[in-house]
Amino acid sequence: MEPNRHDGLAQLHQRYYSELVRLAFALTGDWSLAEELGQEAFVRAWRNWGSIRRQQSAPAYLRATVINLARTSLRQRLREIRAWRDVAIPRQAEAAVSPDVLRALARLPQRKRACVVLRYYLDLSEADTAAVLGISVGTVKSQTARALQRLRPLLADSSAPSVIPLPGNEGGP
Amino acid sequence: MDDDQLTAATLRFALDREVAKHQVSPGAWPQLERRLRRQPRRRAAIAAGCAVIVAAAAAVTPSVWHRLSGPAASHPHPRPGLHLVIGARIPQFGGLSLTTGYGAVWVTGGGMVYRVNAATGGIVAAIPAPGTGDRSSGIATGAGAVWATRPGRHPGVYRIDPRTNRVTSFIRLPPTPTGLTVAHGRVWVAVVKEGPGIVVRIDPRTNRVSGPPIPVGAGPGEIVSGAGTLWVTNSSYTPNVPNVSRINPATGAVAGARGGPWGGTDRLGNAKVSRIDAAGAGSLWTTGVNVVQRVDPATGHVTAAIPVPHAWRVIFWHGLAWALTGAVPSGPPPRPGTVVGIDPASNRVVVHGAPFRGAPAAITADPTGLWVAFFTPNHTSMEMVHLVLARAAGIPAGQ
Repeated sequence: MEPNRHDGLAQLHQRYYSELVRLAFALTGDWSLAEELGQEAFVRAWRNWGSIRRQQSAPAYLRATVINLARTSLRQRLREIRAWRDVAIPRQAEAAVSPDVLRALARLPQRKRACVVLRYYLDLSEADTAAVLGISVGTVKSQTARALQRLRPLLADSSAPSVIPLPGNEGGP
Repeated sequence: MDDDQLTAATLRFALDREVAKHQVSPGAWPQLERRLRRQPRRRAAIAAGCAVIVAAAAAVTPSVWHRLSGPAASHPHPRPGLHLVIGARIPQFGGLSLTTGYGAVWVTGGGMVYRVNAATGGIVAAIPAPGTGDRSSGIATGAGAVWATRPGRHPGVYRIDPRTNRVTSFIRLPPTPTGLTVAHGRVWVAVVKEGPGIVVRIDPRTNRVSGPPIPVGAGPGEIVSGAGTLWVTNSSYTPNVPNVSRINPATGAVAGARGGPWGGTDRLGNAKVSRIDAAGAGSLWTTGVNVVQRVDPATGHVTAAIPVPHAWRVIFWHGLAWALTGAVPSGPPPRPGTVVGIDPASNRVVVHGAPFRGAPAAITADPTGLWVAFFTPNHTSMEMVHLVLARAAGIPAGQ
């Protein structure tokens, strides 16, 4: 491996890997998947190292990659479940029971979910959140406000179904 | 504090509480380094491109191909007319780890172990085994059971009874168990830790850890049994620690504390040995960049490098070394894979498999043929194919 790229990525990994896994976990509710997505983000950073280094934008790149991968993974999981619905799977193997907070987050549309996690869990500024998601600061503000509005009753409601909804089953825009 | 601030604080607190229940895998960086070493570099890509052009030209001109990859003149073609054909195609939920045994193929995926009937290709059981099925978990058969590692939360090894298709025992292990094999009356499990890893032995009669942990290199993964030794591939390079640790199964002693021929980084894929995939025909087998390497188990030196474009994994079956080619899992761009057979007598490619769509993820074998799991071209699901040896006329090779 090339030393500069290797060392640079090692430093990024040390500094951001845990954060990226937490981000992916908040978005997917699956720790194993979150670790996998964190790893994959670094593999992609490795491939695109030239442009990332020039732009000094590695953290934003890594976060954006994790968000995109999480979205893709959830869609993929839905397809897999549909593909396998005819296979008799024991009841205990059905979707994992999730704690309230993950359940509540999973009910948000993906952009709102990403906004609220980046803003209030990773403590990114509105500008940084906008940069990661490729949207305007105004959109970040409105999406975050609506997300909080929708989260409020969900976080208080412990009687909701205990299966993380997958894309397609989630709420409105 | 207004409502929004209160909701945000509640969210943060609740997420922190959930995250605190988990632990970031200590082997994350070694695993990533291993994946990165397989990423194509510019020089390798140019070489690979040339190899693809040659292979493509050879594919459309069979006579040229046979001149390039055929046996040495002093050694008659050992497998005339044989090739691999797809005998069955099975949609898979998972498939990152495969093994065979008890008349079945055992596949991990999505927290389940699936039992596939080797004769019909049908899924006959889906056995819940939470935590299995990610890239670092392993599965093996032996000692009357199926064994699968759970690398994430609550790490350990599941023991599955193939007669009842149920988990009969779970052996807790320190984080993070990865690869495993059953050999010499023990289940040998690689455990990734911060710094050097270990191999633990499980006695299948008691389902307990037997003997002290065996120290190996950083990021241990696959364990191969062959030539009276257990060969442990350490995925992370550590100075003065071999990339391949050799364990005496009788004593648990690790041979050769320093790297020697087993060390080095093998970054160009043509010098030192960085991993061991299989044992057979008196040799160990592994892959480098666009080559299959044959390794002398006594010295650790590469005795032959057989050109196989995009070779990724080797297993030994039916007297031949079989190289799985194509992109590594999650290593886009997805590249359709195939399997080629190498005759150990001549070190030449003698059997060609039909290409299957998608990038390969895992390969195993049973007496009936090879089983390969691969991602579908759009990377949205997986399939498994059963590759059987056939003659040109379509007559099964064994008949």
